Amino acid sequence: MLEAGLPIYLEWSLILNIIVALLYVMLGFVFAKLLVKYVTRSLKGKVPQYALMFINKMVFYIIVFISVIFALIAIGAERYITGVIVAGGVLGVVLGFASEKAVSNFISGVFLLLDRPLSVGDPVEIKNEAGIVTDISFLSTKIKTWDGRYVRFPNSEVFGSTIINYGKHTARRIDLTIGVAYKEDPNKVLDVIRRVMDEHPLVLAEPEPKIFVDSLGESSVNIAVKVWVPATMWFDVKRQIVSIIKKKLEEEKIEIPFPQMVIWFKTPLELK
Amino acid sequence: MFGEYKLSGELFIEKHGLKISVEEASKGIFKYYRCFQNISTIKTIVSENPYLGIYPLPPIGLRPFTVEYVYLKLRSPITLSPNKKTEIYLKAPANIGVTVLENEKHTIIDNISLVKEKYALYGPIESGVLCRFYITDAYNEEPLTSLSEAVVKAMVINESNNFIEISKLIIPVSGAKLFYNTEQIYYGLVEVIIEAENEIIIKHLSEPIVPNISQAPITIGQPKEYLKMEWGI
Repeated sequence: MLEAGLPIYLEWSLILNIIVALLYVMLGFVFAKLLVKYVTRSLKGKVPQYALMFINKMVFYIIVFISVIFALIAIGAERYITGVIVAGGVLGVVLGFASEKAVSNFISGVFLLLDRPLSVGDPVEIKNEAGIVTDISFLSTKIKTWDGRYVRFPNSEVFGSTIINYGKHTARRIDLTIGVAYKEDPNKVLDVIRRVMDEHPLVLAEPEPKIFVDSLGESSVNIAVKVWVPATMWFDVKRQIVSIIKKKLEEEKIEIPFPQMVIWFKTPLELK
Repeated sequence: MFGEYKLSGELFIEKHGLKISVEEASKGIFKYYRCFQNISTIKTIVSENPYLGIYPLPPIGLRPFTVEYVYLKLRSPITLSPNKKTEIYLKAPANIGVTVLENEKHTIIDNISLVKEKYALYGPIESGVLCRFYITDAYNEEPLTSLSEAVVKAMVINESNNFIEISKLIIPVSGAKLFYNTEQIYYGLVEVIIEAENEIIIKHLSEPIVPNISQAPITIGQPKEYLKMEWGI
């Protein structure tokens, strides 16, 4: 027996228990990681990416939590577990009140997963910020804006705002208005634009492009062009067709006028 | 044109305006040139003892934009009486794939479309599928095609009790290995089973439609077993 403290066998048994507890936690971590890998392999392609990330996080934390409980039992703290859980419950209520926003974000995150207005990789616009969704987690949604900024929205804000998802549908329409001079033959203009649309591979043949004289403007006859393109290629195709239409109209010597104003003087001007 | 060519010295192939040439720049280094309608591609192949393979490929587009289906729109629709079975021939697009073959492994280095590329949506904008689009006549017998066009033989079975008008066919082509002979490219047999007007199942089978044709050893995309044409035929 030692002069002070625990008997040697008790001390060794405590060290052994602590090692076993640490082993439980380590094994829990390893098992959680392996299970996450297995879940990812099994569900990849079957559920959306953001849902997969959510499930993985849930699986990981549940396994780690269970391994911590086992570790507590291993060091003989099982009689405290009920107390720990009760204390955890009370702490949870306290934290719940203290972190009302976090809870609200979490619940909004769950609703976002159920409602599925967006997925990782979707081009979206939320609260005047547009870009690609890079992550949807428990508490927040992150997007990478078109100009490369990282924007993090709390999930409660995302859930409460209008979300424009540009990639949710297979096809998306490009609407253009092209003004040509009054002297031009509208049929010739329509033919030129129709040819451009026909030659561009990604202007979809169906739904059929709609090209028509839309209005008689102040300085130009306005031609409306409404064509469908694959949603993922919308920006590229729009950029290309605008520039091709201008080039083809110039080649055909069709004038695109700029606004003109005739100013009439009540008193004729006199040149001195 | 289709087949394998041993790369040593110079190789030059020309057909229907498509020019492919390979020359050995130095030992084990080859320069690959391809030219069609004034658009050319140059690539360098580093390999000890390679073969060049030229085979038909499914026309699923080029990255970043690819599709899985071909939409064949008939110039004039066909009306099929109830419980009737018929065979029709159609023309469809096909791409030309160029591969480097070493140790019996093909690696695609070029994917060429010689016919005008056009795409269309089959179905509603929220859930329809994007397809390579092609307009064709329907033929009673095998038509002659140009390079980069393929012959499609469709076995259409109307199992419904109504007359059915066929104006289009959507064929799954992703992952399909096409067939070829010295003259033409062929899709595998296409089976169209019409159970009702909006319940049509299309299968692209890996079955040659004429004797003495070879199957390409390469393909592109994930195979699709069948397509349910639920938005009309």
